[in-house]
Amino acid sequence: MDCDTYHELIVADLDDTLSTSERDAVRAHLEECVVCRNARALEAEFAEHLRRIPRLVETPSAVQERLRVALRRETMRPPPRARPRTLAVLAAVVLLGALAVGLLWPVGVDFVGPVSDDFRLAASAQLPLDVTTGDPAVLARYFDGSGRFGFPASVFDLRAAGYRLLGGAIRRRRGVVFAVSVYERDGEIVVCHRFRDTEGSTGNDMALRRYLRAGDVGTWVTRQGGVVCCLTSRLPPEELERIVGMVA
Amino acid sequence: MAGAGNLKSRFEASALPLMHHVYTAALYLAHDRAEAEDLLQETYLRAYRFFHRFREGTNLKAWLLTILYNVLRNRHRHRAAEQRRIDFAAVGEKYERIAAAMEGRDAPFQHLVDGEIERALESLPHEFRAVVLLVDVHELTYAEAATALGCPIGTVRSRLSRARRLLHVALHEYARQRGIVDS
Repeated sequence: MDCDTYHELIVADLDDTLSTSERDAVRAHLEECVVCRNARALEAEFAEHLRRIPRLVETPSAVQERLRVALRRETMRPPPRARPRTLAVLAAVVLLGALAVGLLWPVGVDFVGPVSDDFRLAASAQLPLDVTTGDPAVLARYFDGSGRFGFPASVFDLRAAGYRLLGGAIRRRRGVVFAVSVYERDGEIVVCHRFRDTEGSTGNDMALRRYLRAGDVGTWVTRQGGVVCCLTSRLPPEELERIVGMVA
Repeated sequence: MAGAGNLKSRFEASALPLMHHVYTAALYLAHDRAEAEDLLQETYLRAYRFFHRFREGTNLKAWLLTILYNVLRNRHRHRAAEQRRIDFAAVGEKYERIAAAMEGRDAPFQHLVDGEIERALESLPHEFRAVVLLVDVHELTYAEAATALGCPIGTVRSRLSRARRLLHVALHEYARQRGIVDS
């Protein structure tokens, strides 16, 4: 280990987060390294000053009041209904998305609308789930048992990415049956749609990927052997891609 | 299952008292009072919608700060592409000189005046500011900070180490400008 790595351990040691073996390694290094001894003394002193940074700035009373009003409104809110202007913008986005998809992406099914709609419902906790389970195998059995897909439903386990499965549903939209799985991590929702697309299939089994945006929502689309998988979220594309990389 | 009224009262009783913590964090992260107020509101609305999924017995403040950070990250996706390039080798060399010069001195930070550390903290690139804020200011554990930032614990450690060195270099620069230290 070099002194850069020891500096990480020194800071972590002062925060009391080292294992015994790491702490022993740091102590042994400090015996022989004057640079790190100086760094430790500096960090120990500095930690005291950091603790004096104001931890609390009082929220202005007007802001508190505005928040309480917004929360009251939220608790009384009926299921959201799109306003005409929002609807027009949404329709334009969906249309443009569909056009772009038709031109750039060989998927025969118009999936952009259903996928975005379902995501928005899931993000406001209003997507009806047929099965509520944290176990991907249970949800996969439900999808397979329905006999409606014609492909083996594999439900991703995103626990490695920190997401837990909330459940899933079978959604029939515009003549297409979607297997929908909903994941959550600290209020961030990721929705997975899988469906068969024979129209757009080129018969080429090579996996294809595209990232599509519709407003603040992004979807990673992958297709393999005529089965399309869409992962939709408000996450930054690179983070969504990281998850796609984990399940691809 | 708890009813909506019960959920609302539990949320009000447990989450609202943490409002000042979330607001303080939003101020540090947003750099702008109006945006911090927006962030606070969006964080609390999102937290309320998903409060039924909060696991009782875990750190509610860490959960709220995680949501805050997610909201902020989603608003500023472009920041990743705008990250400043920092020459950490040069920072490391300066830091070693500062640490060596402090050897044997009593109270090496006695020259600091109110607000200097906060100003230095605000000068840090976003990812380093966030980790100092979560761990040093809000006292989240490394694991909780890793969850909030969506990164491994090892990244929390390395960012904290780099953030500390950047802070020392920034504070030393302030001291040099004010003629308190020579070089």
